[in-house]
Amino acid sequence: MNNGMLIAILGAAVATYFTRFPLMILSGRKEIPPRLVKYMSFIAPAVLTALIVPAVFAKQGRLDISLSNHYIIAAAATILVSYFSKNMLASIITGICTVGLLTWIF
Amino acid sequence: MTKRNELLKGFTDTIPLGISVSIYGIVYGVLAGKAGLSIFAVIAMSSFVFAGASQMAAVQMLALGSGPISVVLTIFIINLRHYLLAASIAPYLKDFSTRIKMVCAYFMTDESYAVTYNHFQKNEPSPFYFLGSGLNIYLFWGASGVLGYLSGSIIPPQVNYVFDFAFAAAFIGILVPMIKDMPVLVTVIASAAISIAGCLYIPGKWYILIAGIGASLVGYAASSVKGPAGQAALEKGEVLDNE
Repeated sequence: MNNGMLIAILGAAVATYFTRFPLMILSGRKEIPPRLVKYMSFIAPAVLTALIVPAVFAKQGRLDISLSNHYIIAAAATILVSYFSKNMLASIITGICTVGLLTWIF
Repeated sequence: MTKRNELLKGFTDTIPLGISVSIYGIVYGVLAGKAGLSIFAVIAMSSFVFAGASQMAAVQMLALGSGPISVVLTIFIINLRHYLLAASIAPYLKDFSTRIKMVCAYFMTDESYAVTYNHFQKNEPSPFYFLGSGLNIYLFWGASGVLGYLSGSIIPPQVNYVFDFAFAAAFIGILVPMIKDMPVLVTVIASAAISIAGCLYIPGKWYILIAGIGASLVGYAASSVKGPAGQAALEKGEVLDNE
């Protein structure tokens, strides 16, 4: 494990514990402002999108919007399966199989 | 009930959720292996960070070559929701020592929170029940991560192009069910625009954190917009001009 990895893991561990314990021990003395609660509800979808979209559309820092980019078609198939099945495993299998199939055909 | 019985009850009540967490754990392990993490890093992350979606995000960011600081900050904002869980469960535990609550906090997850909160509605609250529930998820999550890592290592590197997509597919599988209303959809569209622009024009991998914080603000703004005028403005895609 290199230093960067070690710092990332230990830093993430401390940061995460600091999201868990403070309000646990303050028991009811602190109320979270409703606006902050609302804001926080959007963070997970925002970060997930930021991880997905460039991975699908950008290759080595360049935009690739074409049919030769198999990830685009695979992403569309994955979204459909995810929407109807609500099942992560089914979504992953669909995605991988679509990329595999397209790579094999073309 | 004794402390020991409370701990056991919390543990056994959480088994069904532990099993479903294991599916995510296996995916996490496979992805971590494909991203080039060592088995020690995989175990250390599950042991010390112990937060599902954020661990997968961290693995993806490390695979992309993100610096440690942007990984830590991104994990932090993903896990901000823990404040909500802690604030909601804390009133039930106000009569117990700070020390046991510090321990409970370490093992708190979405899943153990849900089981425990439900249990406390009809039973005498006990931090040991909460702890037992947390330990269950801790063990299932840790073990399934290792299992995924080991089974992932039999996948040959020749098919890496295919398996690289597993990240995107896993995140799509988590994201799509979250899109339940217009503000969340607006958030997703904003984040797509910011992250694409950011990955092309912002050096490093800071675009992930920037899109995370920025798109959430756009979503928040969208949720504050009331009435048909606001809706029409949103549908015209005004929010996209934000970045």
